[in-house]
Amino acid sequence: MTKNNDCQDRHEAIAALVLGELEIPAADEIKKHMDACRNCRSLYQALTEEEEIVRSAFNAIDERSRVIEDSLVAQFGKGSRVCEDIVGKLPESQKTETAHHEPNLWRTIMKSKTIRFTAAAVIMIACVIGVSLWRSTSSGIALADVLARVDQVKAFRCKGSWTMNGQIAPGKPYRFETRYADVMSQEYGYKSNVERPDPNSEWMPYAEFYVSPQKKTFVQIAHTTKKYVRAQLSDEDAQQRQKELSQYIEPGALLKDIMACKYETLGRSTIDDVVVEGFRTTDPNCRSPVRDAWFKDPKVDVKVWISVKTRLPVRYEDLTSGLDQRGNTISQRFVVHDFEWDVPVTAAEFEPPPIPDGYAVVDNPPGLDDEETAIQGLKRCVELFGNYLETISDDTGATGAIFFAFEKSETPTALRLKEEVKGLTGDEKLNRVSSAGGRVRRLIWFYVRLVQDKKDPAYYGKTVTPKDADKVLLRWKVSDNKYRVIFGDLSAETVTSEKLAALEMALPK
Amino acid sequence: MTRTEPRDTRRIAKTVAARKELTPERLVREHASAVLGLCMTYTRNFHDSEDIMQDVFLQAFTKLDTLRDRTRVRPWLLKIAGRKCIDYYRKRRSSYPIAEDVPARPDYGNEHIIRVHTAISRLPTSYREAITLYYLDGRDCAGVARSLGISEVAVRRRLVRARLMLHELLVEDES
Repeated sequence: MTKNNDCQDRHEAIAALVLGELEIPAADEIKKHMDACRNCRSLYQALTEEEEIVRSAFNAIDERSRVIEDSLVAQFGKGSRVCEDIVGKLPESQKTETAHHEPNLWRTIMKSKTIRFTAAAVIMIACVIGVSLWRSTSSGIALADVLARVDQVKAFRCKGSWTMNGQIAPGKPYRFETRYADVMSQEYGYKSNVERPDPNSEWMPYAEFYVSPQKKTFVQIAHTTKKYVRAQLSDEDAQQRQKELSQYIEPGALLKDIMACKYETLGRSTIDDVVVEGFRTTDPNCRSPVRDAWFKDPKVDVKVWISVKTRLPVRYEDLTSGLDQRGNTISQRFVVHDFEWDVPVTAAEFEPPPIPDGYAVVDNPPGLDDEETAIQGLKRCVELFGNYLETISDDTGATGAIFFAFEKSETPTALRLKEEVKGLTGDEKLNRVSSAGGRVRRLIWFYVRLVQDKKDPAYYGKTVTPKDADKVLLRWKVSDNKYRVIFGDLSAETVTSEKLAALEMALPK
Repeated sequence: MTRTEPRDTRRIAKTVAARKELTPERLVREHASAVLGLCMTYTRNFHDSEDIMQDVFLQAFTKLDTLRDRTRVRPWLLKIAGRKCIDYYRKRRSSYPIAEDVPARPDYGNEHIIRVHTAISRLPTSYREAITLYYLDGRDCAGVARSLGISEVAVRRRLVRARLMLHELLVEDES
């Protein structure tokens, strides 16, 4: 055998060495040989240099496939609209189970030929839509990967702001602005410090919220009204309260929403010296539960920027504009930023501070709003405004709506309150009226939650008065064929869909 | 962060998840890159590979009940992918003739990626399967062996030979 052939035989060992697939004795032997053989050394160097290019070519596939995975999963995975469509075709008894256990959904699909073909057809349509999506994105970051990382985070901090511009009535604009600093922990719960600008545009403490699913407590301290709430909640209510309060900043929910919509990449940029990659959707279905109750046909622009290094969110913006339920222009802007991930937190940090002197406890603490809350709110409407509010679906303009109705009102309660607020500044007056309308606000929250929970609510305050004992004032779905109805005289009854239809037919147009 | 870390993490997660039941999401998450990688070795461009990949998963979703041994889902998917790729070739051949060394479409603008995949597509089938799965599965010969249903020694042999042939093809292409 020639020397050249000897080397030829060693080439496989050299390739194995470059790949890290050579046992130590053989590796030592080939390294020793390379010290003496220039040809083999050159091959080793060439393969090593080339290795980077080869790996990057496969990395490109890996990254590309993640983008496609996101699109595919978003189209037919758990929680996707396609999945919902499939679930929607199943018998009611299977829906709950299916929605929570992926394997059962799959088994159910595969068990029946009809459902299987339906599913395949739905997936096929989804994929046709998906193909255009796959090709429109070429990001190196997969949102599913980001979501997996966010789910692993034990605690994080963030800051944010919320600005709302709307109109109490045409030509009567209002602006509501808050900023907040939040901390969320899997172990200890959620804490939020909210500030609002005073008339001199100085930021002042507005409210503090503390929810502990572990201790099942909720504490709210309202600094402007000098009131506080301390409530003991059930397990479910504590979880729900945390979910409601943190829904604007919770990044997992945001990412899932974006992934379920058609989104585009914004490419790379830098935020506070961090290299980020942006994602954007204008799909109104994104974050719809947090705006559906307020906006009619909103224009939506949701963006999230992910750190290229940590693959965790750096900033999130949600701009919505359109008309409110009364037809007035309205816009809102959420910005969440300054995320600090996996920060150390202690139980003490989530303990509410001592209530400041002079703060009054709210006698009817808002547990999770229920039917009684709604009835109390409707009663308060009559006391304050002489009638029911025309609309209660506009949470963002709740203060405005209450204030506007109050200004027009001449009920004894309203007149007393008007006397009381004489001489106060505009902001103080607004706060006092807002505080007096606390129960009305909770009625509005109750309605907003019915919308969010897709309970098919409807409210007829525009045409129904307290004298209309037999007319539907507010209704929502309680089960498949049953609706709970609050009538104009505030009596309540559960009725069938058919009876509800007849009752609503009788309402004045 | 190197690119291998997340892939390794994914591989471990995949092993753990292997005991759970299959769902459409898991099917995609765990096997998409391998399917796409295999398609790339045939088509040499992302666009066609993604189209084929879509067909592969569609077929898989509707035929999953025919898969008896669910631990063999990866080889099963790759088999479907291989057949789809051959169909793709047949269709293209029947519509218009293409040379074996047809340049890949320069999609996504990465010339070197296309160069590598064009070279890989010229390897014998068994070699290109081995090398593709090796790089996409966190460079784990044992995993590739399971996917292909062959011994680890055989994978290592194919891999090393494939890597050397790839080098020669890349040098040839450069000159």
